[in-house]
Amino acid sequence: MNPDVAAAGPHDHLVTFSVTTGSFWLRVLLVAGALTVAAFGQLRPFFAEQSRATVLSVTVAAAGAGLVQLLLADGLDVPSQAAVPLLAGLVLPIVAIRARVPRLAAHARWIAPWVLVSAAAAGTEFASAWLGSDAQDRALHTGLVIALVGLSWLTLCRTRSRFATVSVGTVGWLLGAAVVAATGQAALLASAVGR
Amino acid sequence: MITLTRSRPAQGILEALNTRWHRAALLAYTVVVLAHWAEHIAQAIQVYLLDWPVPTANGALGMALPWLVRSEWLHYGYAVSMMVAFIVLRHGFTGRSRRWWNAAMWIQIWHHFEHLLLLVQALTGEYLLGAAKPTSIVQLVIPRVELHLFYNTIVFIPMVVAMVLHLRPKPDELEEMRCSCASPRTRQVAAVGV
Repeated sequence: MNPDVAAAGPHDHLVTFSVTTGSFWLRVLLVAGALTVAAFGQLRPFFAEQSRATVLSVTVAAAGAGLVQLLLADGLDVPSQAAVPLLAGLVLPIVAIRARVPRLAAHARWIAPWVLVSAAAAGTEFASAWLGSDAQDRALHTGLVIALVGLSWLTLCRTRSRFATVSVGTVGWLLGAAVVAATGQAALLASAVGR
Repeated sequence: MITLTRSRPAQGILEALNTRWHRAALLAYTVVVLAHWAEHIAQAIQVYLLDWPVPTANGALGMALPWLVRSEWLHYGYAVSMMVAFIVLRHGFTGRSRRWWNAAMWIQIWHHFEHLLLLVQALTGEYLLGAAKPTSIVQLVIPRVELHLFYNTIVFIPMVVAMVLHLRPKPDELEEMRCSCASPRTRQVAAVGV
């Protein structure tokens, strides 16, 4: 019996394929999804309100890219359990947009700017990765997932005051720029180690 | 102008599955689900009562065909089939039973998503957060002891509740029903108006 099979129990979801596809297509999906979301973050301050379809596409792209991040990452800078609330943070905007429940949408819009501003914490992870952290890969992926959560919630932001509009636009723009750089670096690092 | 509509044969089959064939479809579905349960219970007996080594406890069918238990495609295929059945057969349910059926359906949709994630990991060789083997999202929080059994249980319970309520509808629910699933006694009571 194959030692992997012998070590595992029934229903343990072993790799049952003799040949795997490799992770290249995952990286392509990651780059496409993350760049779509980053583009939205960077262009949003310059456009009027977006259509529901656009907003939904961006949030779905963010959730997809976030999930692929978690597949490609060797780990995060935070406990692995934190991946669950991060994924929830990526899914909730989709639910809020799709549900067509005015009360839910209103709550989501109220929370959205705070989630976006909290996601600016991704900056510390990116700084750690770019300023010579030992765990550069982990810091990059952690920063990317957090930034994607923030950009996903950016789609729901409706600001009233000029200060809030400028703040949200600036944070969104900066997160978008950081996501472009970090996605490129993460994809290159994965290629460099032959994944 | 081009309009997209469901083709007539497909519409006809869907209609039949939720009306005159609803009872038969639900029966067939229940048999499949119970057979799946039987396999898991057989595994549990082999491991916990007969003290068989875990890798050799393959249930009943798995004893003859071990690849059945270890095939990710089979697990995924079953999850997809269950999800499709939940989605297709939901139109036949009304009132309370529809709510329970929808709850089971959404849990199964999530369960299917977890299987899809496991399949992608098995296909690409990239495991969630660098784990040593394909790992589901809930596994990050709840260690896998019998997570799959847990999932099947939380899908199975609302499914059974939905079926029981569907067989014994309230008069207003019976009025909306277009299938023949309601028990004869329920129909009799409704007809008499008691």
